[in-house]
Amino acid sequence: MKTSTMKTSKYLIALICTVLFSLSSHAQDLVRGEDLILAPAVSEGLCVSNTFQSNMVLQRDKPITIWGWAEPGEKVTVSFAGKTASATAGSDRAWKVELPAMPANAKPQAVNIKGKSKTLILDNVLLGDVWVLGGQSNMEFPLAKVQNGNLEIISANFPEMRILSIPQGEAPLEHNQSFPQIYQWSSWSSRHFKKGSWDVLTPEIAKELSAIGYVFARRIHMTTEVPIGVIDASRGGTTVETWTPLDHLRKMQSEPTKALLAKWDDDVKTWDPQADLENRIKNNRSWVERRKKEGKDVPADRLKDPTDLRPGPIANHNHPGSCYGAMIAPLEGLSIKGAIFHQGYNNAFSGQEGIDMYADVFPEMIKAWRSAFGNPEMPFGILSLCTAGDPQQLENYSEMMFDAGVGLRAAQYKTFEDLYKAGDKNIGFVSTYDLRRRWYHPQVKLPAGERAARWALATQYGFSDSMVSWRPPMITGMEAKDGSLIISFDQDVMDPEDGPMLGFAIAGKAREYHPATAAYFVKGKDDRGRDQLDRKKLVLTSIMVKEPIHFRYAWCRNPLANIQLTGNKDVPLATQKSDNWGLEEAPLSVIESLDDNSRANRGKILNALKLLDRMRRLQEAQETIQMLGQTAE
Amino acid sequence: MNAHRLPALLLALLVAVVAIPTSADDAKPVRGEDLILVPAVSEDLCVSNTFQSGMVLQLDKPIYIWGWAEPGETVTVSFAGNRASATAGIDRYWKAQLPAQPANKSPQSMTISGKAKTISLDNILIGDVWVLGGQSNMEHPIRAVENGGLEIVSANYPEMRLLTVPWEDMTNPVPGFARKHQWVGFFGRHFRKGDWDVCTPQTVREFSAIGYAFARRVHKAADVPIGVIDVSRGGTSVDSWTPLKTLRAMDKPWIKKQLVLWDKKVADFDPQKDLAQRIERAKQRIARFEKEGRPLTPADRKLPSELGLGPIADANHPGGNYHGMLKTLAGLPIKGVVWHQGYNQGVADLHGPWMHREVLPVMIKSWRETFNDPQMPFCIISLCTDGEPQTLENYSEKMIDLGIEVREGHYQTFLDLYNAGDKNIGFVSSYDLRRAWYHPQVKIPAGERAARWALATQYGFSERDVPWRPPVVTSMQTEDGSITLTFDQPVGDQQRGEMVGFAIAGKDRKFYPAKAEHPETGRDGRDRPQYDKRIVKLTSLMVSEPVAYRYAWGRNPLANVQAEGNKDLPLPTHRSDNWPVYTVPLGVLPEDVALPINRGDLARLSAALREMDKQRKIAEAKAILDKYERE
Repeated sequence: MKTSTMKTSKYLIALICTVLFSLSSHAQDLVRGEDLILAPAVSEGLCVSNTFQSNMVLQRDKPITIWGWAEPGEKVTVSFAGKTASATAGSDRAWKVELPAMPANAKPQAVNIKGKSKTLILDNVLLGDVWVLGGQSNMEFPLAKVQNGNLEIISANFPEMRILSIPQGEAPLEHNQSFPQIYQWSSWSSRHFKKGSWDVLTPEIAKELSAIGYVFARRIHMTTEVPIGVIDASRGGTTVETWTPLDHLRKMQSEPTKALLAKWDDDVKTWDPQADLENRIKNNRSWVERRKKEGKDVPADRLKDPTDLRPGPIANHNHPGSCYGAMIAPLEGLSIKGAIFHQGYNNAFSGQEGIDMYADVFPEMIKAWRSAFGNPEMPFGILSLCTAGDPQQLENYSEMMFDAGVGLRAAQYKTFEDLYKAGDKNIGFVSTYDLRRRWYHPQVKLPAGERAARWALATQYGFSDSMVSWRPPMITGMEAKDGSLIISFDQDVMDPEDGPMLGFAIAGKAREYHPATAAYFVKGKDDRGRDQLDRKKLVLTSIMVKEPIHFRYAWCRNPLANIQLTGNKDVPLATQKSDNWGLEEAPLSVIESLDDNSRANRGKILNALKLLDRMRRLQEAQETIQMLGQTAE
Repeated sequence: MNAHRLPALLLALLVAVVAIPTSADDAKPVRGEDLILVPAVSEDLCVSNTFQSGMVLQLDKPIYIWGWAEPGETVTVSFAGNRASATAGIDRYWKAQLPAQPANKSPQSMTISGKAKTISLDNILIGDVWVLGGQSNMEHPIRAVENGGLEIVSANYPEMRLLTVPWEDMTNPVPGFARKHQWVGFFGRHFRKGDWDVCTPQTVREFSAIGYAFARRVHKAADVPIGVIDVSRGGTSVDSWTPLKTLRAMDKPWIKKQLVLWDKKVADFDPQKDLAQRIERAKQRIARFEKEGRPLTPADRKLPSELGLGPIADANHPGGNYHGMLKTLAGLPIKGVVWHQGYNQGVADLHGPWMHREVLPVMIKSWRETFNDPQMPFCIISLCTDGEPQTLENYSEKMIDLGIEVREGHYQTFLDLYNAGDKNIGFVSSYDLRRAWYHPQVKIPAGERAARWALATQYGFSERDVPWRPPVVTSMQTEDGSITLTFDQPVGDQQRGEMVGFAIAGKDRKFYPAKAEHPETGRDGRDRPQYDKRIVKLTSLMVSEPVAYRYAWGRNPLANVQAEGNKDLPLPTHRSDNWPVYTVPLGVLPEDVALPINRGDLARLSAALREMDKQRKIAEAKAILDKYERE
């Protein structure tokens, strides 16, 4: 942001140069472990929220709301694109104006904000679509680190795309009104990140950008030829509840949510800052002693005892409502096109309780975000949880099915399915489980962004489904028949590579899941006696399951599953299941021996599942020998 | 509406109307016939259709413009402030040379003036011109591939220009092509060809998917205008894209056989007999339609009456497409070529792969000569997938397929040139972009890979940003019942499952899928195993003394080894042995089997391989039983 009391353009240019120079020279001012603030969230005197800066994109076709702070009672006049609106700052210094809706415009224009004695000028402002990115580290994950990411970076010449990353913060109770422009220190990454500034997209800026968000936005930009603003409000290591306003959570009639809040409340109540400090002093001293004993150097700052009292769980980034209050709340009232959301990893640590809570909270979070941006029908695209861990194989199939992340991914699909079936025209869904890597930050991100873009283009930009497919095949029925389970879909499905269809597992009353053979349902014969197949129906069987009653599909964190919509549409069948057995309720044989120790339970269940894999392999080996042995030469 | 804006609007309307290829709408194409919009050569002064409004001219190289006029007529070409003249020869041909120009995104005009006529070409950009060669998988249109619709709707690239050269054969009388709606019997429809188009969602639909993805990536990264000329043609063979004279000068056995075969076809051709046969076929078709009560148009009822040209006009006559199509561009300064071909060498004749291996390097050399640049960038996209996927069930059986040897030939041709210091030869694998159709619908990633090669080698981007060089085996050791391979860079399955795709065989030449592992090289301070990912050790339960390996040896192979680091760089299809296909496994066909082997012999080999799969599965099952019994 540039301030000016003079209006001559020469002065302005000089000022811009100064600001640019000072920005680029900040690197030398950065101190490890400390943030460097370039512009505070709220300044003295007349100021505008940092949501609004030079280089920003304002949402087209919707009333434009701009807000900031001034002296109480000060009149503020905002002019943009030939329109003017005024407001008077209240006793809390806040002012807010509304300008009429304007169409897309790729020509840079300036916003003028005039107070009593000061004028703020935001220049290089475009009118287009603004998309918000939400979620955790897999949404944040930068272009520079993904497969073919550098290819995208060197091609990122899109001056009509603009980027803003929201600084990280915690504010579960009193929501933040704004955010600073800042070089924010991340102790996790042990470096600074530039946050809170609107930037013109260049290859240099693209490096640190969300890979998914970049691909999503540049695709929409290329297609619509409209300026695109991307606001990245994601943050690594966060849960669904931290992205939901605390007061919303408190109102929910959901048992797992109540239990979650009660636990946090208890942690906050029992927090003893003095005891924490003493504990840290003790730990520090013993650490220093050990280092000295081992003859190792001790950094100077560790020789002193810590003295700071810490706020404890209330300042935890995962305290319910915390990230919402710090990172979404400052944007409340902003007109945007929509949001895409990619999260789930951190909720997978809480087992079945986490899954149950997720199923309740996620729809509530979506509602809260839509309300924050003043649009109850705001487009919201869900990218379900990605892969992590060793790939599932036929050898370890059943064992690998035990994972809370899978249940979470299914809950994300269920949230989509419920909203979609209830007539929500603006809820979107994209699977990513088939973009496989073992790391919990799978490096295949570009296709996920493209898929989300297809959803947006089909539902928000009027492109036909035949050009941009996105809607996953949905299961419409299930029938147990003659030792098989017949699954019906609303669309044709296949393995796009025309190999065996993999990913379904079936179980009988014993709740013992084994991988299923999937074949198309034979609906009859043609006049030459050939089978006529119904490609909307799959018949699932397993030599291990005599009477299947339930199925699970793509049921692993890094699943062996390949079923998609027919026609090379790149639309996978989503992770889902028909049973309602909890994480620790299958196989049935284990339930009786469950105890209160979840680690012990885990061991018991895994052993039971390993046994299933073993039994199956043995059975298959015997059948192979029996079948092939007879006919072998 | 403001009154003063009206003239501008009218002008815009007028331009829009003129811009539509009007003749296309005036005359309706007739089934079975080409509709020519602009002939290759006109009566009076004309310029080759290689040069049109909307074209891209190659940057930084002298600009050549040619055409036809009255013999002796002086033709003056003006462009970008320069002017050059040429005099038409007795063959009416003229050619002018203008000085090289740097890249330029602003549309410029060119005038070509003769005695009594001036031709104006406008909306000309200066950038890089890339030529696409090959067969149907290069032609395969963006509308028919995975995510093609997404690319089409976003194809708003006013600085990208597209030209598809019509299909012509060796009987094409001039080094030029017409702008026309070309009838393609294979598809039973017309294709608009020969027009330089601005790339838009409307014009790009029928354009090469690989070519489009390649070009739009180069365009976005290099930020210069790009012209793409597609000269590929479905169902064509490598020798048809090589000058006939060059082929005749080759002293290699399989191309000699190929030429003898075609010379005989041409010599044996009897135009009268051919016409009689065609009339007979047409009558049979009419009779069949009438019997089945299907409608027949007057055109359908018309019997052939003209004598055919026979094999000399066949697209696959050696040199046919070279002389008919590529020659129309000869002398055009371009940036380089992307090539994707091979299917026809895997089906047409059983000696196809061997002939292909002889001809491809010669073809590359002749293309470089054709475009007057002996170092011209040339990228080989190796043969794609086809057919049912190879699995552990059918592994050995799926290893017999001539297409695999064609694909291997692509890689070997690249390696030979690359190792000989050719800095501008490129290579891209596509076998891992799997579909069962012989036109696998995963094409965009192949185009992106070729673009990475171009950006790294021709546009100065670092290989760190745009890796393209495939991992190469630098040594092979055989010991203790295993084969150990060393690579020039770390390799692995990027999904961190097991590495699959290697097969090993002993002296009996029986190839079985191999277990592939990075051997432990030691332990770190915390006693964790350490691996050198440049080393891969291959073993198999079925092969006690392996002597050879093959990798990705299936037309649609089960293979997942790539360069480490999520580089999207597959290990190419290759092998250590040089055993001819009819000797693998040994002992199935007699040593003195007649060559090329026939389909019956191929079937006998397949049966032997199937039996190997069966024996392996039994052995694996027994091993599982043994293991569980021990535990």
